[in-house]
Amino acid sequence: MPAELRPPMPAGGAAAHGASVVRRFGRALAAWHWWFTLGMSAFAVIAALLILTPWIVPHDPAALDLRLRMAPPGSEHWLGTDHLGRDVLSRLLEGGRFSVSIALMTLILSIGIGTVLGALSARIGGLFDEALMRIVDLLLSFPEVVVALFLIAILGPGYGTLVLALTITGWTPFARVSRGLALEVNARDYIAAAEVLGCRRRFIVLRHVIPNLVRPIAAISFLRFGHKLITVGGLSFLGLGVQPPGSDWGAMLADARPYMERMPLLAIAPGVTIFITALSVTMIGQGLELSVDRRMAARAGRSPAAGRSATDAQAEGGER
Amino acid sequence: MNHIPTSVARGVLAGAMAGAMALAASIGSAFAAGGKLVIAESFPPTAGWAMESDDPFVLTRVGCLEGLARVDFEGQVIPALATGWEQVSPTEWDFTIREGVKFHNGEALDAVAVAAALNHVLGADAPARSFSPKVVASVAAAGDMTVRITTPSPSVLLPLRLASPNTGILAPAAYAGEQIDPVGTCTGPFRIVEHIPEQALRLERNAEYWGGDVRLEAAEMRFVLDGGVRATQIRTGEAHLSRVIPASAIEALKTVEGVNVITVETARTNGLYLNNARAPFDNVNARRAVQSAIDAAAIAATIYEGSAQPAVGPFAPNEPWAPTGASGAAYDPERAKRLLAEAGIDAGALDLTLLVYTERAELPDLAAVVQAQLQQIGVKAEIRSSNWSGIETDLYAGNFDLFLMSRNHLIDVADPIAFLAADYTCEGGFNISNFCDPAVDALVDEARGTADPSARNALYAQVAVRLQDEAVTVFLVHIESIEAVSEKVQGYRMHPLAHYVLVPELGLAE
Amino acid sequence: MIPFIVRRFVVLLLTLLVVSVLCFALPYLSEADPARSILRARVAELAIDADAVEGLKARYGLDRPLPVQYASWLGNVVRGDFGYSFTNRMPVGDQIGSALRVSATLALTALAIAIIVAFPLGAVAAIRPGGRADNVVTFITQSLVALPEYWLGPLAILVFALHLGWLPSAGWLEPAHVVMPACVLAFRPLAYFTRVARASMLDVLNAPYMTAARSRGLSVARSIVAHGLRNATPPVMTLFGIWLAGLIGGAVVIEVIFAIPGMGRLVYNAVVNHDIPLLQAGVVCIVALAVAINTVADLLYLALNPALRASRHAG
Repeated sequence: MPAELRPPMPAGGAAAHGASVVRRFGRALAAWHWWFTLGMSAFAVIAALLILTPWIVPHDPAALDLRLRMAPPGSEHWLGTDHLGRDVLSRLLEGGRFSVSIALMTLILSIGIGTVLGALSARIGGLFDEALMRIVDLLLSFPEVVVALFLIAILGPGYGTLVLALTITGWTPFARVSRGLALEVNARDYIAAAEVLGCRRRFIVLRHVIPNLVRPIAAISFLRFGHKLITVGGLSFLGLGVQPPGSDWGAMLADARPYMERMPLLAIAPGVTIFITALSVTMIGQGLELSVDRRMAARAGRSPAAGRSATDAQAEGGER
Repeated sequence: MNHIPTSVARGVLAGAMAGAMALAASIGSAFAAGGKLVIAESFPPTAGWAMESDDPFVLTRVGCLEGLARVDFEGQVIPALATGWEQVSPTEWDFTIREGVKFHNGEALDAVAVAAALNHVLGADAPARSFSPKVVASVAAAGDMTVRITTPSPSVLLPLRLASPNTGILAPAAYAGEQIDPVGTCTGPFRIVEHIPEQALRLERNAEYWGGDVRLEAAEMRFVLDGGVRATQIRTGEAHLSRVIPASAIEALKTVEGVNVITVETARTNGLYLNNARAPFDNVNARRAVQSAIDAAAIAATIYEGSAQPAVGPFAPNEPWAPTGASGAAYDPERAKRLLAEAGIDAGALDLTLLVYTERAELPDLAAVVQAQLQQIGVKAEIRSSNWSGIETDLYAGNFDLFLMSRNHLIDVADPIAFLAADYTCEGGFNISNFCDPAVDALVDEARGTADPSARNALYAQVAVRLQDEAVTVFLVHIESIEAVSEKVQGYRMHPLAHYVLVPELGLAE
Repeated sequence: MIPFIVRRFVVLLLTLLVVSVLCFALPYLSEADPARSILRARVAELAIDADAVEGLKARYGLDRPLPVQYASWLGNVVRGDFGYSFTNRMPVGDQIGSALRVSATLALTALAIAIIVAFPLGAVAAIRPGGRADNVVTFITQSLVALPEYWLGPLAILVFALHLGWLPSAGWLEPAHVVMPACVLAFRPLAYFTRVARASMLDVLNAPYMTAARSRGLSVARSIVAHGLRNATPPVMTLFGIWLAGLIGGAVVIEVIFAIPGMGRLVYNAVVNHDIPLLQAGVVCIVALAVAINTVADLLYLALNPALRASRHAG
């Protein structure tokens, strides 16, 4: 590549020293919408707790003591114990690893499969494209719980079954986005211009395509994460997700149901945890959007009012 | 069957809004059951009323279906649609049909109708255990009002078989279609008005009941699968009687005014089945060690909230076939450790598989407790849980060490012989434990030919003692059935086998 | 537009055929022996008689080779006969018909509630984007998406049935039974509808001609009612279609918690009892419904947006 065509280095990039890093970080933080900051902090705390669970878990989540059934919160058991005298906090941590990791794993797989299939579809076109898009349409309105139930009937409940079921229904919005973008890339003038200028395809992809892909994919991912989390919990609630003695938040809620009045905390703790986890991720997504909007608005000199277009929101709204 | 106004199905938005408004208007009306008795039942009919399934139990519970005999509230077999029976030869029994009984559709009950009904259940693809070709050779009308039943071998249990809901008698019209139709074809004190599948069975009094006056005018049995919801519905007044209350709900119900919690012993014992054919549990001391390691009293008091009794063997102490003065194994972890040492087993080296199925909600919890208590004596057991289909293969193949099961020991008739033969004889069809003891086989064989109930029961008791001594199975708790009844309900008694709920004596105070 | 419709229907039929093969064949991959499952579902007894298993296999033709079973099944399905459920021996078609009606009632009520609430919420948020009301609405919608219905459902029963006694706890016998589950079910679509309503109202309210109209004295309330609503209706209705297909069959948790005999519980029970004919037919119907609603929504969308027709043709 001729040196003059290389992209300009970001100003001060390599030479930045400590103080300016801090300042830049502060400015960057201020540039984010407070929703993003709040959601990000909450999720960071949750993720850290779940990652560190094997080292910080206060009790063995499976250890039970029948004499200590439904003990109220105290110094030994911060959130009390459940109907078998097991530590609620430890079970929350243990159970979170199941739900959250399934949700994350599914998302990563969905993003990978969806983007590749979408791009392929746009490139190959014809019958393949048609077939793929019909499948996408179908899966868009097909309840993922039913797919999960169907697979559970065949494969039996388990971690793999859940990941598979949620991925089968999960890749479609990513495929749509990447297909749309791929079609657009082929048509856009600036790409042609860049090609005329002698840019390599890889450079075009890195400089133009990927950045354009990141935003919608991030938006969908953040929105879908909470939904995946809730679906996993729902299947466990029905007894079809995690199998005893394992635990997850949905299973804890199912266990707590008979004791909701005797010890409300048993139902409140996992419920609030699911809620906060799902909400924090959604907030990251929303905050990200608002931040980008604000920046773009500032650049374009218009009010940040318009927000995202109706079609964007609609595409997401379909992602149940 | 849809009982919500379906105007919504026509116009999308407008219709739905109208529906919502109609609903809003109906809020505030009382949901209490009103003038009819409402029962929240746990078991919905699931087999299209097939007589060989468990569905006839629903029909006897609602006071529709009756058989030639019945089990009364004391557990005795008494005449019902037959006035009596006689063993005319070792393999032949004559049943005299009651005169003047009419089906709900007005047809008269006679020997031909009875024989047709019994032959129908006998000819099922998957016959009922209580009345299959294995135990009954033929049924024929031997007169206008006499039915002769022949058994392949001399049988002492036949009257018990005819007290099973599976052998209930319906009018010939019931068997005409692809499915059994119990509407208008029963003889009992209540007739079915409407069946809303999976939801409810609506009934009204049979004014011409042969057994006399029926107090209740109308009743409704609602099928509510979730035990917690059944417990809730007795508190909200939606139901007058909630059957099969989960132990976890007892505490809350006890404080509710106007509601009584009643219990009856069931023929169900939860046990930890040991694989007697495989090390370490081919060693009796290893089995006894587990017996001592499990604190059944604590399990009964906690998981069952006191609604179950620590087990003394396969049978609960009050059952007629339970050995007198039996007591369960004492909880003694030290003894358990000693026994393991005597057996030359290194507890720490064991890595046992504990199978448990998830259909019965409390079993996975029970598995967790067993695992923890085995841990106390240094034995490691890994729980593998799944629905029944998922563990069945391993179970029959003997790929397990421990298995938790809730077992009913009156599997066909009100007599434990079928259970003992299936579960604990060498060639038994459900010998999960892989247990084989000629002495037990001999006792079961002897019981099979013993006509006198008390002599027979004594033999069963001997088997029970042997099973407990040899620690073949670690019996944990005897389950009690719990029901919650509104004080408005008059004259209600729990039937020991849950055959009858709606009976003529039942009343409802306004 | 006609060739487009024709092509769409061919694709639709092909899809259904493929789905039917999948739905038929896959359940047999499961380890569970259907005959044993049937028996267990019928008799609450664990020990199963080997003779009874053989009898049932012969009765239901389960001893025939799988392709033969598929051919006879498909033949019957084409004639509208889904066969008999393994467990309750009722015609599967009847069961699905009644379950569909129940689920449709539940889903339509829930979506109606969602729409009724979503438009005003979206309008309030759109009046001053970024303002306090907008923030509150956005926060509410985000919270609703993050609330698990299996938490809300039992909680609602506890509060509204047990403590307040306003509504029946569970079941499906009287109109009041639909209220609680429909409200709980409405939360998530409500959130999405609100977002879409807000976004599409913003699109029009911020258009230059609207700014001009307002400067000439058109009130904000007026502009929302006259233009915002009109602009927001098509996208919300599209979403409505997508959600309708999803909630009929997808409301499994709610239907189980509130003991509602709808499609979700039907499929759930089929899975739990290994009732293969019911599972096959249930899944096929849900797929067919999803495809049908999708096609209708697409056609409607095309009909409402003539501009799109040309481009769709091309693409």
